[in-house]
Amino acid sequence: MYCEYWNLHKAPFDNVPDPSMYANCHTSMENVISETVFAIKEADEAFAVIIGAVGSGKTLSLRIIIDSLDRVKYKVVTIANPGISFAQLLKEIISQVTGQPCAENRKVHLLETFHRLLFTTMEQGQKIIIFIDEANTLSPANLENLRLLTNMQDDQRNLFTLVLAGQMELAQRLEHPKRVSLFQRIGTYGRIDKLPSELAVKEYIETRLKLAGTKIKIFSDDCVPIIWEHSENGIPRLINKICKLCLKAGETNNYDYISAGLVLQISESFQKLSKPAIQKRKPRSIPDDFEISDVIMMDTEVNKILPTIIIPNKEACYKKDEPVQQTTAEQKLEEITLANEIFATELPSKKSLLEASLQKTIIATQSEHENIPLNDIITDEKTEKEITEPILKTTTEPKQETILLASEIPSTEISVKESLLEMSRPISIKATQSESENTPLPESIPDAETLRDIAKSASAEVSEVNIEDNRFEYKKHQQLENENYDEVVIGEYKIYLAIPKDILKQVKSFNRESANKSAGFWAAQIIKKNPQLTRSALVDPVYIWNEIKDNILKRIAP
Amino acid sequence: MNKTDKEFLAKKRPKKQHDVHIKDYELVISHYKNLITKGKNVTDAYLNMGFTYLDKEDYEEALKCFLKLLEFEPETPEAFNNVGYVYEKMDMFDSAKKNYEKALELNAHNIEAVINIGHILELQGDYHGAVNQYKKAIEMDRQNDSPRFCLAVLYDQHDMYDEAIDQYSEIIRLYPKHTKALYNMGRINFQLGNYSASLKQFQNVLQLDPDNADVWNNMGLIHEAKNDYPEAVAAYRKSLVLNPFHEDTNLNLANIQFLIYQTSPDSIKINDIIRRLHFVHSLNPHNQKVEKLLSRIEKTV
Repeated sequence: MYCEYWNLHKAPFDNVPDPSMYANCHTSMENVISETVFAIKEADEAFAVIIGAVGSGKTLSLRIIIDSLDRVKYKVVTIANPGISFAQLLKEIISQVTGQPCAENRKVHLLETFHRLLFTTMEQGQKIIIFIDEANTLSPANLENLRLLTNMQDDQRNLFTLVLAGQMELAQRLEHPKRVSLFQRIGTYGRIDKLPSELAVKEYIETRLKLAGTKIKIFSDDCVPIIWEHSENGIPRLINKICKLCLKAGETNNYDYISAGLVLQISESFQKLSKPAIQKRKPRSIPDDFEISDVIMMDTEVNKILPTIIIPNKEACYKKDEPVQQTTAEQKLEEITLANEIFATELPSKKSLLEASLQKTIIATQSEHENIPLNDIITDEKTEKEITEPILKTTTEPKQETILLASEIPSTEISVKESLLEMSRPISIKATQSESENTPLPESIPDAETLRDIAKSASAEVSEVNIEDNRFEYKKHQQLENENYDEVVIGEYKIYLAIPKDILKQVKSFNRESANKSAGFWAAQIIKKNPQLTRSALVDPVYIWNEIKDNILKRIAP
Repeated sequence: MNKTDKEFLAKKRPKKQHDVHIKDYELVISHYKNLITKGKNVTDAYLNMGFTYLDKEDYEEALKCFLKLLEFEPETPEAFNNVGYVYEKMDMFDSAKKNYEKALELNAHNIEAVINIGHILELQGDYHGAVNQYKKAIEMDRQNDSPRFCLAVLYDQHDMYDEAIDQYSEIIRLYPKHTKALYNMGRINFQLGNYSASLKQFQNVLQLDPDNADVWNNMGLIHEAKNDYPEAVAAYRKSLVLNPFHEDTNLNLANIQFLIYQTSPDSIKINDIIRRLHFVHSLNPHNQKVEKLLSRIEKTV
């Protein structure tokens, strides 16, 4: 254990709530704790607020405050996730106070019950203290409801105290002029800041190490600026993580002290890692053969990324079930290499490429299609021929061929047919005007958030993907009249870009940089929602995105 | 589920995921309502209807079904677990916990209830309480990977590396193909600088799950940490083949390409790197790492 190696009697930097490891050099946290305890015990306040960034120590502060309360005098209610309806919030509070599940559902009855409880609890010599953590997730309506709840006090004293703890968004909400009546009721308003300086970080580290029993200097002084930088300028949780990893690495490598080089190496690497894999929560005792849940849940997930595809007749079965990537990364990279080699030497005709690719045997790793009746997917010979024909006729456009290398290399029989079908039908992506009328015109050059909203609203309109071929006439939408309509070829796909005029008008008022950002957001939305554009392993989506973005940019900022 | 239900669902259950519409829920629900009206298999009908509402994310209705079920089966721990689960989904943690506790009262060996209580405590920020619950569940069934994995992840999320490694190792000993445990062990070993062990674990995951973009990304990080840039780039590219929108991988690739560019500017076009970063920024305008790297590039170039 690294503790033994460093002669520590306990772990100094564990990221778990442990009041005994509280470092009093975190002044803002110290102040918040003492002020809130005072607000509850002495000042009998109705409302106390604790604000702090993620990892700043809010939860530890709440734990210290709660632990300091005498349970004979106080009934403590803790709400950890308040993003629920007000009725549910009340039910939860009542059930915690009474220790019994609350069967009542109507808000008016719940309020009555809560009111009664306040008095009965007071008669028992206790006071209710409600702690709401993550209060930044409270809806504006619930904030207002909580304010009204604090009206339930008697003339002499407050019957309960509400402590809200949350991130900076909570502060923004509370400080909004609209909520002045709520703000005025706040008795204690504390803010837990990050550690304010490199010096404070140094003190924090040394205090914790001393509390853990060290008598020697473990971290060299030049470590501190690096820890300061990589802890996002003083977030305790990140400081703990970096220091703990350093102590463990020091033990592994038999170091006498922790150097700046080690701190830098560790800090840079851990931040790149993704989060741990977690276990999915499932309800108990789902009947073994009750499968509809899985089917529907999968559908929900897929619908988040797939566009609505409108297909007029039975051909739907080809497109609706978008083929997924069916080869492994290794296989796809082989394809890239193969394609690059071909492209570097000469471009063969599409037919020969197709023939070559059809001979290639790749085992599918995805079993999604296994349950689909074969008739739903594989057409008869005649249909297949019809599908193949248009491709063989369109082999003369070199630009399109480079993209086609991708979709031509099939991984399974199913995807061969799908890719054949697909290539015969240019895809048109058409923006409709649905919500654009509601998009406000910016008064000046928009900030990133506004741009994102506009991009969202625009891209949200890119929701209809019509598959057309020689047999289907593209039906122009009525709203097209109000749109600036253009046709762009990206690889083998024809993209119908239709930017609603009002959106176009807005975006044209942007400067070049803002327009570029806007076009970028928009292009990203388009390729995200149309995975068929990036399905190929041979095409880097960055280039497709860039091409779409440039096309949009040409139109919005010519 | 009885035969009639099976036949009904066989007819109505969509064959492919894209065929599922809201109407399918209604069909299934109306079938169960019909059974209830006729008094046939009422308890099964309420149970299955509850699950259908859960799928539909209509928790109020799901709760009604499971509460009704409780009237028929007041001594069944599973019924309380189901009610608790719905409360949990409704973020009413204390109500959820009370129902799980009730399940435990009815059957002190109900490991699911113990795990569920641990999960609620975890959600309520009670780290030590959650640890104790999971440990209790492990003692109830030492071969069960579920509580052990919950405990391991809890340790992992709180940077309790040694404790997490102990639990993951035990899971892998019991179930050598537990991909999530292998993956998380790989992550921890990487953080601790045990690159060989980490690489081995990620390779094991890839044998079981070859299309895991996260694993390729993490393998890229290992190669990068070992200063093997060509291998790192290859791993990142493999990750991007599997998921072209993987933010971290795109960023890591751009970062390493910039490192390569700094030592050998002719080997890569700086505009390609910048374009990739703008692409990531378009996917997530809040990605501050992109902005940092872009600003570093601007300063350098």
